[in-house]
Amino acid sequence: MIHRYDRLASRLESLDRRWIFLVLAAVVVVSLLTGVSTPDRATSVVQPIYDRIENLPAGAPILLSLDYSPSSAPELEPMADALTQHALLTGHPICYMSLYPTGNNMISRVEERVIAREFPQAAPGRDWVSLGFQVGGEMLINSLRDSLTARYPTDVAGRPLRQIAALRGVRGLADFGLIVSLSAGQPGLKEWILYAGDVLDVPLAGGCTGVGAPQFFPYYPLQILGLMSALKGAAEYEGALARGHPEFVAANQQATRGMGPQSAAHLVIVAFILLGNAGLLLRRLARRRTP
Amino acid sequence: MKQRVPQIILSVTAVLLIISAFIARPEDGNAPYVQRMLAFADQEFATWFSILTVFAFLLGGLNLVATHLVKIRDRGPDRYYSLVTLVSFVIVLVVGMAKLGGPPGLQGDVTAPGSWLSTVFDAVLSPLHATLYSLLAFYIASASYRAFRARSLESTLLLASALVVLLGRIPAGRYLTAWIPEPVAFLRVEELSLWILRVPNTAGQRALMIGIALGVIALAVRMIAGLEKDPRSGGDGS
Amino acid sequence: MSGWLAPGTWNVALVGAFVCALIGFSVLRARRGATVSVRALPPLLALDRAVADAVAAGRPVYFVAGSQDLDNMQTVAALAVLRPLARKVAEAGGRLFVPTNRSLVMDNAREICRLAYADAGRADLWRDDWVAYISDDHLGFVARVDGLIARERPGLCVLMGFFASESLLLAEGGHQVGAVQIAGTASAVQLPFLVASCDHVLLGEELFAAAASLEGDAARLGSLRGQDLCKLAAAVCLVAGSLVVTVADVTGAAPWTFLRDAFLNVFRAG
Repeated sequence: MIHRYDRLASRLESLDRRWIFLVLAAVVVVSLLTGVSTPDRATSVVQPIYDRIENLPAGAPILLSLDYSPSSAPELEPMADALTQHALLTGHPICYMSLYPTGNNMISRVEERVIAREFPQAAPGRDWVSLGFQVGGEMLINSLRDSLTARYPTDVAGRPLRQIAALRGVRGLADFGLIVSLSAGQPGLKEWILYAGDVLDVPLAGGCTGVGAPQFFPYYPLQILGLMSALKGAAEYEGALARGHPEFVAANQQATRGMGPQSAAHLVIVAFILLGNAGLLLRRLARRRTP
Repeated sequence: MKQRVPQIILSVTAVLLIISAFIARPEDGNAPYVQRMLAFADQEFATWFSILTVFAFLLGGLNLVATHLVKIRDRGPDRYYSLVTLVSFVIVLVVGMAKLGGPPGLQGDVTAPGSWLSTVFDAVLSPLHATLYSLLAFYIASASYRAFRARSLESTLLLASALVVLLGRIPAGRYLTAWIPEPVAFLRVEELSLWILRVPNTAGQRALMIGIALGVIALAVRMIAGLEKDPRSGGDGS
Repeated sequence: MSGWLAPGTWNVALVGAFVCALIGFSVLRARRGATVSVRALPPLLALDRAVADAVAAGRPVYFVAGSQDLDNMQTVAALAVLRPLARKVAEAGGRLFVPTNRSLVMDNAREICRLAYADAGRADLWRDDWVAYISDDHLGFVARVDGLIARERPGLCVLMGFFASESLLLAEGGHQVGAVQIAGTASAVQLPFLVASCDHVLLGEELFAAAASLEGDAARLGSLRGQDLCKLAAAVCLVAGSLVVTVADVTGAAPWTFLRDAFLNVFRAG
């Protein structure tokens, strides 16, 4: 009997990882196919970002730095979409830029997926502008503090910044109503905090991947007014947007839809952790009963 | 001399940049010369940095080509991978430099929608990135299974925190503890999860950050003062 | 002078100057002969045995210096560890592969390894292509390195420096081929992944202490002592600050509120 316990325990404790991979993949695929999801509500960490945009003075521009590459897009792109929707709904011009080399493409994707489809009346240069990627990371942020034209004489389409209506009244970073960095790593939100938020009197918020979230909580709420972490943070923002602007509920809710498979994956991981611990417990019980 | 000149450049540049971070940007041209110079350094070093970075890309690209050409020439076991690497490298380079399918000219956006580079990005790079990144989910699952075991008091606390955060970050977790009455709502799993992230996690992160920041400052001070031994120098390390 | 100082930066300048002065003073003292003892770091103690085992098994050693360029201090600290490691591998007569994802890191790493092999009297063994540039793209880099690890089956993987999501991908790659894995990073969010997947991990600031622990020169040891003194000062300020703020808020008495405001001014964020 004790041997049987021991065998079962060692099986539970040292499962071949391919079983874990298989079960995880199967559960995620099934939940993707069934499309089960539930709307989320904004927590106290996400709500301030929504409130800030709602309460910005009319026409105040928002700087959105898409500091990620395609790998982390599934977590961060829904945030970019929701922020774009919110800004355009409330009449705030958006200025996109990126600290990542793949940033131009990430910006193009938001333009194509959200602006072109959902806001056909929005005009480039008036409602949004894309500055694109520039190399330099924290040094780029530092040099934009006083003047955007120092490193961005034109936008990606080649229009001189002075002629762009969306940036009327904007000289440096401090002239934005809100800066949001959607950050996959370095350079990203941390650099924005150190070189813009802490130095200038400008409200700063962020979005980050799930892995990066613990790193940014120490900055909340003094140095960043809010933080969206991973798909859950994006889903919370979508929830706030759906409640505040019900006319928009049916629109692009990719984070809310993605929470179904994410929930399933979390539950699988919890189940395997419990399984491993059940093995450990069984082994201890078996040893205790050994004369 | 070969070591002294780079050290002087490093020290002068670093000191200038550090000082300029604390110097107010002059409002007009009447500010003292030193103040204007420091502001100039703060502003322009970023541009110089960008230019130098381009040369670093060049060095990397040349090394990549040289390494893989040698592998193909030597008919090593990995030569087919090297061939794929080189062909991909040349295709992306030509497509990007010629701005195929996109707006031409120096000002033309190389990644404009419809350009070939944009297609390569959407059809090749993007799925490859997504695939590799999604492997993390599988690796996190297997690593969590191995790591989170209640072997001691500390590891039991770690296990409990992990379970709370895992459940607190999904709607299912919310429904699991929705029955907990409002006066003790802080016991609900999503509230506990947020508390773990905001309180114990923040405390630990801050302690780590202080130690790391001091480590970075100490290394920087040694480098600026020329006291950090150049690892490329020979000798016995003393 | 007040017109010169950027608004809101005086407190950072003050704390920064204090920290630099304390570290500089400790370095000077150590260089003048003051003894500084440093505790042995277990991951580094394991290095000798792991190198010997890998070489004895005919398996190579892999070293990854993070995923950032030389402007990141963690990369500099990682390269400082590479030199003694390369020397150990050379003395044991082994092969050391250093895939890099920044060309400047490659250039430095190659020079470090070449000299370390020469110092160990094994210049004949060294090949320049053991240090290679892979890709600036961190996932492209990981794909290639994981592929190399799967084919070459190293006996020891040393992962030092800044890592982002690639930390777990690299560490699991090494775990899969049964390599001994020694890691070190000051990237706090990646530490849990490395702890879960590696045999030994240098935690946070230990990465910056690694070179001092391995090579023990006076400047590095002195600055370690300076860091400890700064940490002590930070701990004292934390406790004192918490007490002062609490007492001031409870009593509202003038000297305490003055002290509280002074504390909050010096240590305010932003």
